[in-house]
Amino acid sequence: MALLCDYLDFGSPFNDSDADVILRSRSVQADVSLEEIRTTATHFRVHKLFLIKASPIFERLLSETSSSQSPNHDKELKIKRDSYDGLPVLCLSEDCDTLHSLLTAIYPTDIGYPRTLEAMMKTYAAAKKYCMSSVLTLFRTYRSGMVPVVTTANAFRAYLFAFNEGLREEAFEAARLTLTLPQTFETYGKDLCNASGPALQALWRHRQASLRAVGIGIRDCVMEVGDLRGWRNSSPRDKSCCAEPGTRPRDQFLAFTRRLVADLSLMNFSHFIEAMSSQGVFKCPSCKAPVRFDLFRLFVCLERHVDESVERASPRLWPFLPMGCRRG
Amino acid sequence: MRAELLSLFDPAEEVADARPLREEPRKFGKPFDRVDADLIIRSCDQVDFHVHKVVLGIASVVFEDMFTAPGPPPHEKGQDVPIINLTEDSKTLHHLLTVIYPVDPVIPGTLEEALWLLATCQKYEMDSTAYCVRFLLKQRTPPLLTALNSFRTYGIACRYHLKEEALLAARLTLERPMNFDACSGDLHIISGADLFRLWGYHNECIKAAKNCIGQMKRHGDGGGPPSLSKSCSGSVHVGKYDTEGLQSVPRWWHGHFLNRVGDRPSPKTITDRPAFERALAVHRSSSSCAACLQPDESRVDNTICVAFEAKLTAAIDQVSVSLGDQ
Repeated sequence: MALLCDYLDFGSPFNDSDADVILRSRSVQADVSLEEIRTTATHFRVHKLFLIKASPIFERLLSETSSSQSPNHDKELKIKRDSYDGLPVLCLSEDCDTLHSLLTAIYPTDIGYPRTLEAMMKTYAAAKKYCMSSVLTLFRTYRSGMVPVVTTANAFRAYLFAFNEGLREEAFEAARLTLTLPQTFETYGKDLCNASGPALQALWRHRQASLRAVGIGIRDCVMEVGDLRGWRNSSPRDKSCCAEPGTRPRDQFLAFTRRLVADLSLMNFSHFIEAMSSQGVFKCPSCKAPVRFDLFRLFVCLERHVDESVERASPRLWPFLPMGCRRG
Repeated sequence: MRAELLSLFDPAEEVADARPLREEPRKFGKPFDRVDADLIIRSCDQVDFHVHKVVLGIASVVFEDMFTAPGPPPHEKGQDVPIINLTEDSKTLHHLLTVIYPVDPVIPGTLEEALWLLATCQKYEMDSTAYCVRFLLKQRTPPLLTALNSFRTYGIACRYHLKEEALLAARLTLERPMNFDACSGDLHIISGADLFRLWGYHNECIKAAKNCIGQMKRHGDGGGPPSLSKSCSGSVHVGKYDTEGLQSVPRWWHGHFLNRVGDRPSPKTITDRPAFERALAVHRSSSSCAACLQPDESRVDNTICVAFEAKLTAAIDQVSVSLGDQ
């Protein structure tokens, strides 16, 4: 069976006549018959100067291209060399969309930002592979101002993508998002099939350490709020006489925090309100007048303590994620 | 392969190159140093085993093909006997050769060694040798494969496509809850895909165990499991528990066994004797059930548990776990 590859030109702006090198994308299967398998790869006609300025890896690769001793195959980077139309060709392992995003980031043209989780991870991984740190920063900065691509719902998948691509920073962020979901087989479902053993163990260890940090944050918050006397609502409607709010508000608050340690998905304001008001209105132990608490301020305090504690623990959590991160 | 496995068992441990560059080959010694040997197999740690082609050829399809393939055998300078370098270490080759030669077999002392040996048998297509190894391992006391190391065994067995060991290990994992905490120590060994399949297997086994208990109950009266003495009343003789009728007698223990399925659908866990006796004691004290107050208690308990365990084992044995490539 013959293996045939067609080359497609990407077109503007990567088809300038003064281009001096071609980047060839990974070929994709186009057609299969009994006699042959046809694949297509996309050509980006680009200028060495841009690549050399943006990436020390391309700088090395392109300087080798012009020397006669350059090896025909860079096994580490999975790059082959070829020639086409009288131009040197670097056959890269990235797909067409990834290369397009990368090149638009270094050319004076509209930037093709990756839109999906998968495209984002692939582009970040490619930028990292070619040591294009400014491109990586550009994409990360852009992403931070947009609607997040990585959410609680796809955090596990994002973690695996990032871990497998060696993107430690993204793996860490996604791992943190997975904390709000229970670590069960039901939660991960078929996404588990994309996970390596080391990725799963790193996530499990990260989770254990993070939950310890959450516990410390909760403890700090409980110490700060005391018996909640300083957290009463200063509304004029609050006509209770006593200074001490009694034990019930604190008990209910503690009960909520205990549930929180076991299930971080409860960390939202509606769950908090529900927990604090589940047994009716708090009443002043002396005059029995209703006592209102500033639940929003209380919740913000709790959230802040937990976030700060996890943040403080971050340097200790990072080591849980390097193993499988290939280039991390 | 052993180096790869070692790195799995302790990722922090740097695996030394098993074949130092300048190390001189050395002979293993008796019984693999006979002068009539016509082949030397060299382990990755540079130990030479003087063996006979005919023995290896009979035991292994791969060796047989190698010996009958055209082309000169690999000789070393000054050596009359051809030498074949293998990737296995001397310990594994020693275990392997003692099984195929008429000498006392040396059985692997650890689970990992046993799995390496079986993986080696599989690699060289030594089916009857693998059969012998499995037989010898089954005779070993205490057994190498236990519920405690079952997740680890499952992970390694899946990696090396040892279907039989993967299934045995999967069955033993039924004695443990199927969650990330239970297998956390072995997670780095098990791929996510294998873990996902194991989870599916657990769910199937839970279903099978519940069905099995449910069928036994329905076979009796079609009603729910009674829990009061009134339901257990009537003349029930010890002898009755020895009969097939046992499985159709609607008793409170149907409910007890169903509750015990939980997330550990192992027949052994479900019919755990001390748990059954505790449940029986609670039943008696709460219901004053005369029917369950038999004089020969241990016989009754054992008979019930044994009968249920056998039924459950047969049901669980019907459930299989698939390896990735099947």
